Amino acid sequence: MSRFRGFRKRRKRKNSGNDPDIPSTGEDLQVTLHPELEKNRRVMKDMFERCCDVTFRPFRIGKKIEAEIVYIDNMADIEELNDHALAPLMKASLTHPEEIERFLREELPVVSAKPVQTFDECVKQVVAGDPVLFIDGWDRALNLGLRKWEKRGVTEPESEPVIRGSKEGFIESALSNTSLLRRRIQSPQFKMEEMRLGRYTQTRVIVAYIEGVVNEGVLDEVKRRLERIDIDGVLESGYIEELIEDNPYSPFPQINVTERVDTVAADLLSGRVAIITDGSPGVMTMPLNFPTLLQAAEDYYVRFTYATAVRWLRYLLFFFSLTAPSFYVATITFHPEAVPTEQLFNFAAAREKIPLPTFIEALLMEIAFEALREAGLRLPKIVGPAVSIVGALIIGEAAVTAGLVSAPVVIVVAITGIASFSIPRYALGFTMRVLRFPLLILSGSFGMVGFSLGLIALVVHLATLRSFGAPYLAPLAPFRSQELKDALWRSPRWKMDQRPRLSPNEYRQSPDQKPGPEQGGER
Amino acid sequence: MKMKGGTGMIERGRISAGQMALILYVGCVGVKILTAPHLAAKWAGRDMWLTPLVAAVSGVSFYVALKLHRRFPGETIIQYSPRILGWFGKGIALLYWIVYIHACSFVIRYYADLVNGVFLPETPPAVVMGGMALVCAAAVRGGLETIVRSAQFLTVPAFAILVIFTVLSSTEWDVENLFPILERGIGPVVRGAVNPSIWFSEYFLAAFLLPYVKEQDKAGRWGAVAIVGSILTLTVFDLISVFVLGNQSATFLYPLFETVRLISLAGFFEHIDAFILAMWLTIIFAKICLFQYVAVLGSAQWLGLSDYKPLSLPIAFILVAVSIWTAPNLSFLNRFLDGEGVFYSHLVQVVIPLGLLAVAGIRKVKGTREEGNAS
Repeated sequence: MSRFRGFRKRRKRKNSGNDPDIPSTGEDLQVTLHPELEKNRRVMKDMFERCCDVTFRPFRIGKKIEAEIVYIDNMADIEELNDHALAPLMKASLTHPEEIERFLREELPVVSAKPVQTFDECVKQVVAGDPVLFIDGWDRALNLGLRKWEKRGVTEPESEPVIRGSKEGFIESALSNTSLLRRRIQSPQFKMEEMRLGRYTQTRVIVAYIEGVVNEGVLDEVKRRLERIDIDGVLESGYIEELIEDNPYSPFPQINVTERVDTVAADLLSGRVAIITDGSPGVMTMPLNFPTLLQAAEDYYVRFTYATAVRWLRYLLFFFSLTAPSFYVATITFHPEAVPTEQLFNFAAAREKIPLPTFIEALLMEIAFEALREAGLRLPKIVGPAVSIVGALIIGEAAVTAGLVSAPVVIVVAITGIASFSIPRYALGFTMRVLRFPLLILSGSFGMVGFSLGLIALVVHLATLRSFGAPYLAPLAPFRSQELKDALWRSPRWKMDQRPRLSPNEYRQSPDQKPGPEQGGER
Repeated sequence: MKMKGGTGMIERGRISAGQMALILYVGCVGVKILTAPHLAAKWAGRDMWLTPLVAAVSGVSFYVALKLHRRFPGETIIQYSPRILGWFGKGIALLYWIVYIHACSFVIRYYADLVNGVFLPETPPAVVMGGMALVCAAAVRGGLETIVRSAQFLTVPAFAILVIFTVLSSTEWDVENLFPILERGIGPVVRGAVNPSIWFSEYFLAAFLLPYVKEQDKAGRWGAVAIVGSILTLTVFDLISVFVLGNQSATFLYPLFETVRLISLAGFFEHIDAFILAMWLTIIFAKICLFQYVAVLGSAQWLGLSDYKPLSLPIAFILVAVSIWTAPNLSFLNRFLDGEGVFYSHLVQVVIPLGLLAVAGIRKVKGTREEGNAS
């Protein structure tokens, strides 16, 4: 055991160190710029050798001083560059290199211009899309900050639609996402810290939180785990999620991922931390507790009675989506006496011609259902409906008529499928789809006992889980009566005075805001 | 052996007083709601619903545990008994370890006999036991917090549903079955209380949980709540069993199942005893977990190990083996739990701790840890 552990440790060390095989970008470039333009140009040209998208544009300032703009086609705002940088520079009446700095500061109408000192920074700005201006006789360069990336517009998040509520969804651009959030939370307490992850991708990763509301312990832990990441590229928030989870082997999501702006804003206001990843519309919030996964954004916008009822329906459907096939198999195979007699006769009649045992029948149908779902998802949208027609016809009709499967199993599988669609978070749906099968096997082998033991094992696993230190089953176990108002039911807004215990800032709002005719007016 | 002074807190989790009360409560009523009417009814007949009240006297074991805990805060009996009696105390600690392995094997055996007898007659008992022991081992590996949280998450709804189901049986209730009360005097009731008192004496398990309770000042009160809750629960279930089955309670091995089997709701909801089993499994899981945890923690503390979690799986295997050896059949088990068992459990869980307390008082031994360390 200990030998094995040592072996693993050694391998880990080898991977985590600065392996010479992986070139690191930028470290050898911490060289300050040269006053001579020619030398700077040579270094930059060497650096961007065989990069056909990098453009070098030489020109003269005021027809005298040599200068050069380096930028990437289609990543820089060419119009702005022409009108507000190139034009004034060319027309400027500069003769002495000493005046350059004053001119750039006082007469160049570009708001985001920033002087740069090292090659390393220059390269970083250029690859990020900012045009960089080099001037002969000046030992700095000017980052003009005129990047303009292609990005799609803000649309309704397709995976989390609502009827009432904001239709804004995050997009791939991290900066658009931060602006969406900033527009929701217009407070200087709302902090966003940037870091870059990925040796090659240099992906912008932004940690967002509200100072004074956030749990500092969680925030530090999030930052610590992010800083530990050292990979070549971050292409989606999923990369980060897998690297900062508490229990990487668990089938359950431990970080909430959403495309909804309002959900993230609400999480921030509850004292959670959000991570925005450039290139991914999925914003992660943490810590996550299990009941959150069964809450939809809309619950907070509609009447609380309805929201509570729907939540309970969802809990029930969630339970069905996990257990319906196993429950059916356990009952029919091991405890048929629990089925009412007449119904049992019907079932028996339906199953009379079926060659397969119920367990195998249910297993096959579940697999067929998952296959249909997967096929429908991966196919081009135009072909998609064909799959459902084939699925409905073959599985719903023909298989039953041919006596391959019995009608009750089809019903059970259909109920399971519908139930699993009602889970508002897609990630939890995956979990249920995976866990349904072991539970089915247990119930098929040991009846109710196996069913029950399987569920108990699942709960034990959930009880061990933590998300950034917060217990996963939180308001239920450990029991926190204060937080039940947002888990077992959805309290009306005027009753939700307190934040979750997670946040050091206890009160959300002033108490006694219950509305009514007596309130306000004459008092 | 580097036992001297123990190895301190090898359990890093902390539980609330309410959680401790819940798991002790489940431990007390877990097996009994299902089976005890059978044993109690054998002696007390229709008066058996009075037995929990008499048996609750054994709940004094909780207060013995609490007193010992106050004297030795932050330690379990495995740690402080050598402190009180030296090498002899070490022997007593070993006794506790063995006793709790034995007691746990009883519970596992009870569970397996029920499952094998009623639901899975052809499955080998070792498989039935092994499944449960494995799940419990996983929970014990997760630590005390995992155990109490799973217990909380599982047993609260399970009890709620059990209560609903028993209320559904109200169409079958015949309150007349209750009378005459105390027809043959108090004697049969006391004799019938022998078996339940074993479960009440198990409140001594608090000696293993109290060191890890966060709110020390509330522990006593919550313990009392748990004991009163157990009395009420057992009385109610016994009463229902009398209402439905009358004097014949003794003839059924598992009266609760019989009661539930009679439920018929709208002609659709019938014979739901299998679902009751599923509920009851969560309760018995919590109970086995508690015992298994104590056995694992006890062995780690007795051996002076720095962590108990690696022991959970090996001890689960030992428990399955011991469960198979512990009794030849269910009737032997029931006879033991209705007779000699009472001396066994009270000796270990009431008399010896009282002795320890007395000796500690006379020799003026006190714990070295401050009370505050425990929280």
